[in-house]
Amino acid sequence: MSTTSLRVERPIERPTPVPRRATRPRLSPGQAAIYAVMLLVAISSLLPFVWAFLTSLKVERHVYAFPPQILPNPVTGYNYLQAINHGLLLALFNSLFVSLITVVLVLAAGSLAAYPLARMTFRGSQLALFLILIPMMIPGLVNLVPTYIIMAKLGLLDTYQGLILIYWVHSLPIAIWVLRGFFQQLPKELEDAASVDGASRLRILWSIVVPLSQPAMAAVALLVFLNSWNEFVIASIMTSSVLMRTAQVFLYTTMTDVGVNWGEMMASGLATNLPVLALFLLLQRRFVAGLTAGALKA
Amino acid sequence: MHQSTVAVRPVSTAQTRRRRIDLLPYVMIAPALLAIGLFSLLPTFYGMVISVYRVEFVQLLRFVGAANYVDVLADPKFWNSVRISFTFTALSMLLSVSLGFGLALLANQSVRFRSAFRTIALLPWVTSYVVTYLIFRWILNADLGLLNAFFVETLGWSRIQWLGNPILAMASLIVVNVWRDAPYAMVLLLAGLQGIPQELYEAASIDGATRWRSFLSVTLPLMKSALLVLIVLTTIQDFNVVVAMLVLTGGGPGTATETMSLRMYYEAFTNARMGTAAAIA
Repeated sequence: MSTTSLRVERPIERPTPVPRRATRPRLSPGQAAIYAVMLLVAISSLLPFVWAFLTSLKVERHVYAFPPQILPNPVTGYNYLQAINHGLLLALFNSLFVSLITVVLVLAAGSLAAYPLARMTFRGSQLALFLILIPMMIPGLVNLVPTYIIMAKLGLLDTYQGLILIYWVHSLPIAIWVLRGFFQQLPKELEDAASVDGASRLRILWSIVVPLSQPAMAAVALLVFLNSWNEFVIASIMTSSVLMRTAQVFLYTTMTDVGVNWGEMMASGLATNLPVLALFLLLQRRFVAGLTAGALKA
Repeated sequence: MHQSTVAVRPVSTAQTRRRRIDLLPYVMIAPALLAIGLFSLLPTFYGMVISVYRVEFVQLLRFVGAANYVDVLADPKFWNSVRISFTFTALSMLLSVSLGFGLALLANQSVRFRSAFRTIALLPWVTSYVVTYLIFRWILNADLGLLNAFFVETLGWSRIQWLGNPILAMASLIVVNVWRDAPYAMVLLLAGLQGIPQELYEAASIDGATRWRSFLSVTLPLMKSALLVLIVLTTIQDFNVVVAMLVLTGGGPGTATETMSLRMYYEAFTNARMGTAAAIA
C-alpha cells in the first residue's frame, strides 16, 4: 500500500469463474441481494441530482407548490437565464481560469521537482522531500487565518494571482509525491541511452520522462482541477468582489444575499457541477487512478 | 543514496569538491520548495505567532501572551464546538468508512455492471461541497422539500423540521456527509481489495476455510494499512468541514451544529477576531 503504484490502465474485471453447468445458472439469492444493494446505492447517488435538475426546469409557481409535482410542466429555461443574469458565467469563467492555470503550474513545478527526487542523488534530497510532504499532514484550516493575513500584506487579496498561488501551493505536495512515484517506476534504460547520446538532464525530463508519464500527468491534472474547481473556503475569504468570485462562492453568496430562489439555485448548482461531471464521465479511469494514488500518499 | 555518492566521489581538495557540487537538482526543486516553504510552512508558524497577539483587521497590534488561548478556553461556546466537532467527525468517519468497506466488498464480487456502478456511486464525490449541501438543503426544506413531501403525502405524517431540530440537524449533516464520502472510501478500498492476490483465497478455501473465515484471516489483515490510511484521511477531512454547516445549517439551530472549524471561520471572517481564530486552530 505504501508504494504508490499508479495502476492507470488496470482492467477492472477479473475473469469470472465459468460455471461448469451447461445451462446458465439462475441468479442465486446472494447475487440478487448484491444487485439489490447496488441498485439502491445507485439510486441514492443519482436521485438528488435528478431532483435538482427537475426543479431547475420548473416555473416558479411549480417550484413553490406543495406537494411538488414530479415532472416540470411547462418546461422552462428561465431559471438558467436568471442565473446568467446574476453573474453565473463570469463566476464559471473565474473558476475555469484559476483551475486551469493552477493545473499548468502544478504540473510544471511538480514534475521539475519530482524528477531529481526520483532519479538524482544529491545532498539534502531526503530533507527536501520531507519539507515538501509536511504540508500534507497539516490540516488546511490551520493555515487559513495566517494565509489571509499574509495575502493581505502582499496585496494579493481579491486577485487571480493570490488565489492561484494558494491553490498551487496546496496541490504541489501531492502532485510531487504521485509524479515521483511514477518516475521511479519508469525503465531507467531509456534515460541512460539518451544520456549516453549527450542529452542534458532537463532535455531527458522533457523529451523522455514527461511523454512517458502521461497517465500520471493526466491523473494529477484531473485531481488538481477537481480540487481547485470545488474549493470553497479559501476562495470565499480570498475573493470578496463580485468580479473575482469563483463559481462556488457565487453559489454561496447568491444563496445568502438574494434569498433563496430554489429553481435558480438548482440551475446554478448544476451548471457549476457540469464541467467536473463531464470531465469525470469522460476520463473516469484516470480519475480513479488519481484518486487512488492521491490517497495512498501516506 | 547518500552513501553511494560519497563512495563514488574521489578524494579531492576542497576547491575541486566545491566545483563538483551539482547545482541542477537544487535548481529544479527550488520553485516548488520555495513556494511550499513561503506559503505553506511559514503560515503555520506565523499562525502560532498570531495566536499570541491581539489582531485588529490584519495588523498585529500588541503582544497578549496566552490571553487569546485563555479567552478561547474560558468560552463555553468553544467547548460546545469541541463536543460537536468530535460527535460529527467520529460518526461521519465511522459510518462512511464502514459503509465504504461494505460497498467495496460488494463491488469486488464478480458481478456485472460493476464499472457502471462505480461511476454512478462516485458522482457525489465529484460534486463540490457547496453544490451537495445546496441540493440537500432543498430536499430537506421543511415546507417544500422532497423528503417531507414523501412523508406527508405518502405516509401521512406531519412535517418534520429536518434542519430546525438540534438532533435532526446534526443527523442530516452526518448523513449528507456520508452520502458524499462513502463512495470515496469505497473506491480506495476497492483498489486495495483488488490488490490482494486471488491465490490466497484459493489456498484458504483448499484449507477448508469458510468465506467468513477467509475474510477474517486474509482480507482484513491485508486491508489493515489501507483502512488505517483511510481512517486518518477521513478524520482530518471531516474535522475540517466548514461548508456543510455554512450552507446547510449555518451552525444552527442555535449553536447545535457549530463545529470548531466553523467557529474559527466565524471568529476570523465574521467577527474579525483573527487572534482568537488562530488560537482555536
